[in-house]
Amino acid sequence: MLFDKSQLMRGTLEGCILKLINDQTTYGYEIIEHLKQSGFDDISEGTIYPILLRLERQGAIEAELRPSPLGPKRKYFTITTAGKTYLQSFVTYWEQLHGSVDDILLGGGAHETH
Amino acid sequence: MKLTDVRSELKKLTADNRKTIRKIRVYLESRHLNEFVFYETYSDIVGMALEYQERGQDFSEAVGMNYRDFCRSLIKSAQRQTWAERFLDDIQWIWRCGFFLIPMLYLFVLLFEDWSPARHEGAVLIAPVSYVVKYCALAMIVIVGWYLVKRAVYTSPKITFGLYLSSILLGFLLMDNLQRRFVDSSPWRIHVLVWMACALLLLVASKLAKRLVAKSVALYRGIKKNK
Repeated sequence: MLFDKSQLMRGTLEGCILKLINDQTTYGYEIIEHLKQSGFDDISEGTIYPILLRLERQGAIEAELRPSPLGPKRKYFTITTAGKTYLQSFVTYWEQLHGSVDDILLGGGAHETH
Repeated sequence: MKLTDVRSELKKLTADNRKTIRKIRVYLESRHLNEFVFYETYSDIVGMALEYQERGQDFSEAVGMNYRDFCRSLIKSAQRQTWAERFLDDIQWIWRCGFFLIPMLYLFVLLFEDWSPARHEGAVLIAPVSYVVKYCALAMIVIVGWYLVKRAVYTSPKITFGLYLSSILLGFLLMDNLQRRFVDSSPWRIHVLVWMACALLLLVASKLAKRLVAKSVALYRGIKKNK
């Protein structure tokens, strides 16, 4: 039985997308390219578009239409103040979770002592 | 993007991509999204498809998983209709059914007067109440059923059409039986043109009211920026 990585990815992707938008104002396809470069191989615009829509609805990002050399105007996303707070809390929780998971997987967890 | 722009962008898409977009549009349309959210999402998807096409990539790469999963995740993330928008949306079915029903009955009486319990005097249809109610219910089954057929865009067409035709047949038998049991002597006198004008007026009014409510919700939630 193989592990379903989409379950694990779902929660973390939102934070990663927010971080990319925090670094620079960007658009969907560029976000995918960054994510693919970072090792998220199975990502498509269909995966990130609902996340962008949700982040926009929550007020974490703002969209602006700008001309594109390909096709119609592109939607560029910028992080808001609320989005920055959200990203900060995501980073804090991720570091905690990362530490806890590493602790168990690398064998240094509390259960080792039993 | 304006609606005319979206239409012209659609024309630039390949037949396969247009088919995919049409399926997504029908699915989203039937899932009670706020009108402005629906329009924005739809134009985004058309733009996305066109950009993929211009890059020489397949739009199915953008959607990734199957279309239904894509639509479902979109719907989960998007602003749904409020109860007022939903009410105004649903009530339009009554006006739509009403608009078509009486002229159809009138036409039937004109063509087959001997076969019908109704008659006409100029543009006035004179019909027993149970007769009008029977066809009212049938018109609802036909029109609302067709809406559900469109909504079931990802279900097997054979099953969908089978269920649709069976429900029309069952509805007809049931309503026909009821009409025979409840014979009434007082007929309704309906002026067809006045009826159509009223139904059309109510349809337009509820459409405008729905758009107004949708716009207010979109402005309130920050989905649409006031210009």
